Amino acid sequence: MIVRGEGYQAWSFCVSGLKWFPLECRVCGSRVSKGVVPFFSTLESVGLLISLLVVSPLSLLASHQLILLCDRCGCAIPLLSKAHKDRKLRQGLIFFLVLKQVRRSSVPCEVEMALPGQTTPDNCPAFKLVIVGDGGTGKTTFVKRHLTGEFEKKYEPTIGVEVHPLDFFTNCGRIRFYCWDTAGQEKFGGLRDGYYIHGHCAIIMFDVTARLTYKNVPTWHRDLCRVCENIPIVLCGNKVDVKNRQVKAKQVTFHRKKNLQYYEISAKSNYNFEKPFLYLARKLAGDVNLHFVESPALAPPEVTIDLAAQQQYEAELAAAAAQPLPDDDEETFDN
Amino acid sequence: MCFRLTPSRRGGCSLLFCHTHICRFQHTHADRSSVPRRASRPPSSASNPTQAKVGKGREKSRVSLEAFAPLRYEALFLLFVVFITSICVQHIFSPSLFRHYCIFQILFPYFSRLFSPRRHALAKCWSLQSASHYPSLVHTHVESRVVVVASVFASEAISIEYLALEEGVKEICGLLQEFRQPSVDQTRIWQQLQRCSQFPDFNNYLTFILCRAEGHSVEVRQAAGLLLKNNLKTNYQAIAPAYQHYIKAELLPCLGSSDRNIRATVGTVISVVVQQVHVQGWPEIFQAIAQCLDSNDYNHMEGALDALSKICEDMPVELDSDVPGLSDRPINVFLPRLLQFFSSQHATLRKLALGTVNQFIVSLPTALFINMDNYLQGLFSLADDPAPEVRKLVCAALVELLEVQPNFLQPHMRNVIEYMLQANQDADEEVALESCEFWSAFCEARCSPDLLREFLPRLITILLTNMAYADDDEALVDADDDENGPDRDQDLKPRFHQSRVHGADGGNEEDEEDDDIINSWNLRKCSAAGLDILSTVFGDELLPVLMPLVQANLSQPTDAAWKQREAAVLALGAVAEGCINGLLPHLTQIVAFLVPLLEDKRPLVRSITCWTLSRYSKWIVQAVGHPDGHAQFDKVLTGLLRRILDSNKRVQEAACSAFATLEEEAAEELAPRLELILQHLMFAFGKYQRRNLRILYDAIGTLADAVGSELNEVKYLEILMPPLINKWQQLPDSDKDLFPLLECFTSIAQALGPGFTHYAEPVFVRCINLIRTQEIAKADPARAGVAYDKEFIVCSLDLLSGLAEGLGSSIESLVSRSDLRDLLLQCCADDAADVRQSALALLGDLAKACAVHLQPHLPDFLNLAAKQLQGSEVKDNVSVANNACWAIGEVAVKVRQEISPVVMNVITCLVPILTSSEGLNKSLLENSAITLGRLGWVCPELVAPHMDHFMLAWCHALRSIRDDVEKEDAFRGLCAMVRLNPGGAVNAFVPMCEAIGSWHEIRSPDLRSEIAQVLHGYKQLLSGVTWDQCIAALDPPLREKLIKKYQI
Repeated sequence: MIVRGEGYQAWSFCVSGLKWFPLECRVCGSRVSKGVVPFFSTLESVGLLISLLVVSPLSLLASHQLILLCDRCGCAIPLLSKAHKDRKLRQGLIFFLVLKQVRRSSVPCEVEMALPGQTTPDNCPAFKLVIVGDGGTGKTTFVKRHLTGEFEKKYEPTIGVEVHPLDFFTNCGRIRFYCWDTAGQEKFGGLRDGYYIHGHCAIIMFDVTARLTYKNVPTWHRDLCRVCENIPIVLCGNKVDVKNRQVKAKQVTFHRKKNLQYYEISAKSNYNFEKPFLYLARKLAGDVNLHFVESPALAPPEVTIDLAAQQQYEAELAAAAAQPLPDDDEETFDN
Repeated sequence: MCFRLTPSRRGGCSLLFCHTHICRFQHTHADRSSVPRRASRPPSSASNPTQAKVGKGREKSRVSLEAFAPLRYEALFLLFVVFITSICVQHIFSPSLFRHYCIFQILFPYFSRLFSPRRHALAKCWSLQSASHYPSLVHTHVESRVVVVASVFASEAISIEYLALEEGVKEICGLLQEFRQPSVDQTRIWQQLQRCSQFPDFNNYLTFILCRAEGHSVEVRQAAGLLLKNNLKTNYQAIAPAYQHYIKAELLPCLGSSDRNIRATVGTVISVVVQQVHVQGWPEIFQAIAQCLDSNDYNHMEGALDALSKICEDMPVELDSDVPGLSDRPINVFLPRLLQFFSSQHATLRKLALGTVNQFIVSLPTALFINMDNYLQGLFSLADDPAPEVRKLVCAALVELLEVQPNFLQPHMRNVIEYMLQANQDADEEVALESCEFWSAFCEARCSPDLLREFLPRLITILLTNMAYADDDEALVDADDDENGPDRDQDLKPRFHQSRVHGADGGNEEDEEDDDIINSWNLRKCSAAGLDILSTVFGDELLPVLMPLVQANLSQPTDAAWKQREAAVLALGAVAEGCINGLLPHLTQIVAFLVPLLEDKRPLVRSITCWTLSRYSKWIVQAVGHPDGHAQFDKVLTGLLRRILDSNKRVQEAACSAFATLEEEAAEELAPRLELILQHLMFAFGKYQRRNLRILYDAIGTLADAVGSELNEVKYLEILMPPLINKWQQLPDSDKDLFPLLECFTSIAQALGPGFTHYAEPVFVRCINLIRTQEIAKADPARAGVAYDKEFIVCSLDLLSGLAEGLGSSIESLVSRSDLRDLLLQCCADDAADVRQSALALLGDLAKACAVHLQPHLPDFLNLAAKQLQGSEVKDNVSVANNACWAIGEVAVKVRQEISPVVMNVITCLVPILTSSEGLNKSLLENSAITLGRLGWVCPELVAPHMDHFMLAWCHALRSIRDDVEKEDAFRGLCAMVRLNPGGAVNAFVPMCEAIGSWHEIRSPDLRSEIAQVLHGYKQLLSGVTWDQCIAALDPPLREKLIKKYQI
């Protein structure tokens, strides 16, 4: 089953095991002749539809049938419909669809619509994750924990955006987050909210040691929601490893009003690193039982020290400890 | 100036165009200006066929060609203009826009007959723009234009306009398309965009792409719109007025664009423009919105509502302002229309309209005030809306009204409550959650509880039902947390050691909230919070309703009903404080209910039961005196201890925390059970993973604090100490898990006192080593082999303080054999405030225990301490100043006269603290008062002459100090100084009497007689009348007290 569109790469879905249901739009009631349901009247909308399918399957199911175009005969075929009364079953099917997106056909499959140009491994659904928040709240550091680097004490503002693919392994298989680590500083903002387009999910980051960064959270949230409606969002309070925090856990109430998930994290110690990703993966998959089956390789929480030097020093210390305690009060340890 | 006439078609053109990337864009830029201008007519005149057809995808180039057929004339004309412009620039050079404009006004009539008006306008604007924006660049521009013109002149097919538009749009769209690919070099894109944004009409391009580039994908247009929005936000005022006008005019017709994303983006841009120019700067927008709202076309109505809601969200009061030229405030026009949309057939429109009106609840403009009844009616009519988002907004509106304007709801309260009860059971969880906020809001709005009373039975039933875990609660997934799984770094919350503060009551410890509570806000938590706050308002009244429900839930023994059982236990915990009076008589039954649940099969039931029992621990402990009270306490104690050994990590955690709470309440009641407790705790110690181990250390430390010296028995220590010491030896010096262990040892050392001597030496030596290692690491981590972390120093210093306090003078032998003094001096001078804070605390404790060992560095210590009290240091680091101040006092009473070199220095720092009007930290004030007194006691001859300056403030501060040895010292100082300088206290006689009266009982007889002497001295000093006046000025009870105690 392939959806074709001018300017778009082909999509392929594994739809085996699904029953087909009559083609009728529940909202407008119109019947499908050729092409997709009138609601999704243009080819671009098919792209939208497929992004939606990935982003929030439930919102789609609530209103419309899902229709894909057959590449052979050109006729439209519904993927799912309201006739699947069982909500759980529908959720399962949708996620199945997303996860089992395979290259059955000979046409190369690229996730063009949502993430143009990305290459995604086989059987691996990919989501665009947008990370926003004031400058210096630790967005880049957080993302880089997943990679290999160590905790960066030096601050170099992000210019525009940096995109990192982060893979996680779930009980349903591998999933990939393309993390769009956006610039927090206004002067390096680049396209700013332009980067949010087609975001599937988002993290809003603030710094618990800087009150202003929390005050700006509503603005980030508003800008985000104006581009991406109804995507799962996690609010993260970073730097809880710093002793004198300015924003106490009790003062963080924004997520209550907006129905966001909130996590306190520390990019320095890795505290709660996985939690935001796990929450988003569960939401995107519509499966609360989804869990990570192996931990990603994280950078070690502490700065590592040259081992040889350490051993040598330990030997020195041991030798020093073997010495009797100095009797002379005047003597300092430097001598 | 050189002409390069290349007879070529498009290919030739572009060849000429691009020597470099930048160059091409400049060309484009220079010639393109005509296009947006042409399109800048108001939307009403959009009937121009050219304009209407522009941007129809592939047809575009054909249309453009037709439109610009008489190209050669135009090119000729442009050529001429170029000439003129260059002449202007060379001969009458002036950056003034006006000047160039005038020249054109003069030159223009000669051409106007020759060319169509459209081209006239075009040429005028074009040269105007180049001259005004680029006076210095005109040369290059002129040249490039000539090239363009020449090539176009030679070529027949392509219009300048089309080329210009096409090139510019293509380049920008290319960037906007490209950037969305994850693999692309974003820095390059950023730089290119940065370059583009240098051009003053870049925004015109973006506007064109957003509004008209229909051949391009929606994403590209959306990105262009968002970029435009950001540019306008930061730089609107810098944009030429003509462009501002163009942008505004282009946006209007797109309000109703057929594509949803375009409409939404246009709305976002519009809101930003309105933020910049306000209503008076753009009245047309409101006319356009009003027209769209009335149009009855879905796209137009949705676009207009969307824009309106964004404007209201960004500037809630903007619409409620008088605008010159408008007969009415915009809100007066829009509000009735918005209310009409409440009954629209489209859910999206209802949602937008409702959301927009809700923005006004807080500011309550007159328009809403007048329409309040309509608004409420509208809300009620939407109460059963089929769309959950609409119902959610209805609930949000009612909750907000209740919070902000409760009076409006008052007459309808019964209906509203009725509705909220219904919404609380909504199938959509978000609606239920939103409505659940109503009950807290009701209680906080101080509405009369009578209104709610009759609904309590139903309300509580609903809350209790909603308190059961939802199927998708994350806690359910995490519930099976087996004790054998090791904790990872990312599971461990960073923890902090609180540096010692001397004298503060309880410190500023904050109850760290459970992660669980803050992570997500859901119906369960909101309902529990609602019940909690209801219990504080209604108190015991809730119980007749609640208890039968709870009992019914608890008595469901089947495993399937575990969520109801759990919710019932949670409810009992939630009302523990609010309803305690009514619950107290039933405490026995409640505990009898709860204790068996500690053994429930479900871990979440076990853990919540631990929590609920901890909420009752205060009363369980109080009941110990009653018959059976002791047995009950025992049952709870042993029950919790068993759960500490649970195999589930979550239960272990809950049990440990609950047990620590019980320890604090029970204190010495624990003594008879110490052996059992220690056995359990130390067994847990052997099996816990890292995360819970921290909580366990806390429980052990709390135990030591609670029972104190009761712990000092060999049989207990034999259980307690070996595992701890073992752990202590295992952990390397660089392991942060040492911190909680060090804290635990601090508590134990203080509890055991001299009993700790046996364990003291290795602990002492380890602390010294830790400090020394870290001091080396600070300078050279490679040499130390560890990364510098000041927390090690702070924890070690605090443990040493604990040792000094516990061991007293018997620490002397340890100190004398170590280099602690030098290390301490280094720490007192540390850059980090918390290191100084703990170091100064240790200084004070060492002064108390063995001052003689500080002697060689005494002046250095005192100077460092005095430095902490100077200037802004005090405000920035109150706790450091606090400890410094206390330490100076402790040293003073030990070394007596040796303190004299710094006395004046310290006094000059203390007086401003005491007289400060900023309400400094209470503990700091007390310590300052005591230290001042102590200095006055040891060196009265130095301090007494300055009594005038501080007596008043000092006596005020002395009044609030509890009776203790330190206060005695301070009063000895008072007496000593008054003896030397009785005149110094005359003006502060009344506060001094109040300070004296603040003693409940003076233990020391000599101090008592000294004070009596002081008072009698004053009686003699002041002649009869003055004395009587002074005495009369005292509060009667105080006067009585003094007369009685000191026989005056």
